[in-house]
Amino acid sequence: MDDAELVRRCVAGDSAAWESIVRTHTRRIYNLCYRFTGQRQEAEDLTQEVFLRMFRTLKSYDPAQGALGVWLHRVSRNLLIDHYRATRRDRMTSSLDDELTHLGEKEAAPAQQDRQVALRELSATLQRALARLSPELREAVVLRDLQELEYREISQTLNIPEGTVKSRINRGRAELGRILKRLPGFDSPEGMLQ
Amino acid sequence: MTKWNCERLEARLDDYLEGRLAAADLRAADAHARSCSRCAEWFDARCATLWLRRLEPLEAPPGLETRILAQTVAPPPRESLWAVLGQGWTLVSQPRFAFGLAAAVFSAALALSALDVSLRDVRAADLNPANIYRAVNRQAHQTYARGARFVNELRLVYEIRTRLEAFRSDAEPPAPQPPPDPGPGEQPKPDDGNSVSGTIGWLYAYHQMTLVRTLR
Ligand SMILES: [Zn+2]
Repeated sequence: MDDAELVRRCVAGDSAAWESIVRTHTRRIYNLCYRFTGQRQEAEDLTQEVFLRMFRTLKSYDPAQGALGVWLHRVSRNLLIDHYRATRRDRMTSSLDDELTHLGEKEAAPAQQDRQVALRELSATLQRALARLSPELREAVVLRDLQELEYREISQTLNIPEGTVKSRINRGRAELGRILKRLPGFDSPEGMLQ
Repeated sequence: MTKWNCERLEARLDDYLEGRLAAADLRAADAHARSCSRCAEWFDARCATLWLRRLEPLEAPPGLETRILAQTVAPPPRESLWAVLGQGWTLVSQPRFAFGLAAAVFSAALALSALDVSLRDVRAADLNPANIYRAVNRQAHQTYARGARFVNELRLVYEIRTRLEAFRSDAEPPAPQPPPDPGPGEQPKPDDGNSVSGTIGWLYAYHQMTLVRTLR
């Protein structure tokens, strides 16, 4: 069943169709919210808000504007930006020094741990590094490298030309790389390169 | 395989960063980017991309889908709060009743605005306690203590209001009273009931303001 049909059924009151949309997209949207905010509880609340908003505006979905997943990313992204602006003042209070100290401290632990722990730590450190990017670069990087959207889909999500999308992604990656290479554990990429 | 230089790297930048080159090209491009000051930032970018792609997506928290479905599967009636109040209005045409209703709406608006709930978004079904709970769930999590205080404050407000109403109904209907003796001393003033109810009224209004301030 294609997206347009699924949405048509939802709007007609078919709760099974709605349930299938929720079950298909919740995890991805939760990941997007988490990678953008870095807070699990916030991400969970925002994910619920995304689906509520989507549910209320489902009638306005236009398949010509992109797949349902892209539309959901756009809804989420708008919400995340609103949320980012609303919480800007709170974030200002934590100083950059605190952030930098916090950024490095996890890596001080011995590296001989099992894969799951290592992945969790990698995730946490990358998350804190991502948080230091401007929202403009962060969203571009997250949409491409974590959400794995195509350039065209990101361009639809952010409503900017593909050329701008690519340059933001690459600038964001470069900035992230500059932050990461100062951290222990990220300074020698040999193991990753073929 | 030709040698990689800055121009070539920049021309194939997206493919390079995403690893969409033949293995030998990728190695040569890495070797150039690492040793070239102009391309150093792209080497950083390539490493960042590799790190990011090692991440696995997180599992959604247990129960999240169910909570989303619970919030959405039974859609709330589209009737707005104002429509419901409009219906109620025709039932309460008495001035006293109308005043009470207006005061109740005003108090509710204050309380809701204190909780950052926009009245425009409130629907009739939102007045269902479960929905109100959901709406304030997030704030309540963060500010449990404030929430507890809020309930206590509401109780106090309710008490003050009840007493205020009692004073008011004592004063009504305004029975014509003989002019009191202008004698000095402990003689109660004619507007005594009103001034007590007025004081409590002010206390109530002041309290509401404080309540809103503390909740913000
Ligand atoms: Zn170069």
